[in-house]
Amino acid sequence: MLTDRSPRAALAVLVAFLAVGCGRAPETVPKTAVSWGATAQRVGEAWLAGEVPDAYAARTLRSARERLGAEGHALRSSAPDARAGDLVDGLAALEQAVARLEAALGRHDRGAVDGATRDVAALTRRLGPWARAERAG
Amino acid sequence: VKLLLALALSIVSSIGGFLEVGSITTAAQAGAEFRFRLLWAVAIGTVCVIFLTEMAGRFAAVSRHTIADAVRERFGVTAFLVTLVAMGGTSLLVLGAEIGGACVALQLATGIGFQWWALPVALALWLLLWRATFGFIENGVSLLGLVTLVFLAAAIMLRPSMRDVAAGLVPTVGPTDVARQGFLAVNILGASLTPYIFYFYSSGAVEEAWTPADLINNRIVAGVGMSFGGLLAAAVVVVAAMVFAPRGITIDRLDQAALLLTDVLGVWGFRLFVAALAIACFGAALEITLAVAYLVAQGFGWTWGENLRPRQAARFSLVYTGILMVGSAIVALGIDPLRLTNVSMGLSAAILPLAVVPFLFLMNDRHYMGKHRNGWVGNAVVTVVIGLAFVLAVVALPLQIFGG
Repeated sequence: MLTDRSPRAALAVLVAFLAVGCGRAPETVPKTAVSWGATAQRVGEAWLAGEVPDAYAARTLRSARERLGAEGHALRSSAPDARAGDLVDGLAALEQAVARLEAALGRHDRGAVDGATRDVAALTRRLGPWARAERAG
Repeated sequence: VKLLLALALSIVSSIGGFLEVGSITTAAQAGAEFRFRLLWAVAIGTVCVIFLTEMAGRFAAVSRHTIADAVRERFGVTAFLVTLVAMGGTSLLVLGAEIGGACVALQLATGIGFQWWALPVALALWLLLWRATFGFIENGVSLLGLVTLVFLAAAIMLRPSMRDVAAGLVPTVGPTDVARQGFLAVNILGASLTPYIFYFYSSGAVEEAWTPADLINNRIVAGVGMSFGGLLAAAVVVVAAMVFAPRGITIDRLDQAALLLTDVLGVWGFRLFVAALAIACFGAALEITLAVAYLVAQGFGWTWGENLRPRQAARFSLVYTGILMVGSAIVALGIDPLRLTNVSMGLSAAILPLAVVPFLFLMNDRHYMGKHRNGWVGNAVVTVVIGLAFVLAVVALPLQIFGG
């Protein structure tokens, strides 16, 4: 049966759904960073193989760089301890490598794209232990 | 031969129309994060949707009533209005997600931001609804949707371990990320059992003037078509498990999902993914828009029908026009389509009891169903689905908070 509280309750549930859909937990940073690093690497490889168009590759790399920057910022503001410092440095290095990849792709410099893709892959691998620790925890 | 062709067309349509943004993204997320472990959710959702779709079609064929008509008649105006508000609101969000999915596909193809495509996509949807017949919408767009078979082809080409796939069909959650697994399982079930499907299916049966003579066809279409559709959703899980999971790629944006098929099919993988996403979302957007317009018009007793000219069903046409404006506005605001999809699939799961409970009463009502009432198997399945629906309704919000 409908009561005068029903619309407010329904609205509260909807707002809660939308609010939680917009949130991001700092403890998921390593997994998210590995995911975006691996995405950037795969985009670089796919672009070199002619599997994806320029516009898609550029847009996705921009998303990866922005997301890595946001994750680094979230981590800096939520966990300023020494161990997190290493992760913050790793994230910053990965973000810079993705930025280099993005710039190289913008110049259509295949050699630079290849090099930057390898850098992204190596830096993403370095974040692996954090992501695995997060999963185990 | 003509009857067999019509049956084949219906089966093909239900296969081609099965996947949409919700089933593609939730399946891709599940495979990328948990490999084959959540295949059971796809299987359960498929079994439930087979039974409920068959019942929705049987109800319409025997009683010549749609579900919305009967809910108002049997349970009263208040019950209908609660259903209308809950389903209408949720379906608007799902519509936004589908339009968003079609817009992202266009963004992938052109590089132009998805928000800019909201209005052109809505206009194309509106023109089709304004001009086309029900049969054209149901069969034409769904036939194009057969491009989604590419997911099955990719899954076969990747040669997954059948032992791992079979293990994934056993319902388990854990050992880590339990909340996240629960969240994705709920969203997969929400995507499989989106309530608009039953309203659309029963309205379509009335539009096409089904009679009890169509009951066998209805059973075959629901059984074969939906089973194959579920197989496609499972194929998305398998491909994501084999392509994304080893790399540690999780799907935070639909852009990432575009790489799903490139490992197997190269440049054609990208193109076919874009085509599959665009067509699946466009087709689903048409169905949702019609389903909500049907629900409103049937509930208020207005003239309705996609086979009528707009001026013959003016209020029905006005409703779908308004719905499309709201759905496209959600996308034009720039809300991330993937986030919108996850939220709307969670909400679909949360309101599932409202969609499913009436089945238990209507399918056993001698006044509507006569000798075609549910048997014990049908009632057992509906009872299980109702139990599942209440569990989903209770856990959907907490899982959005802890696993979303």
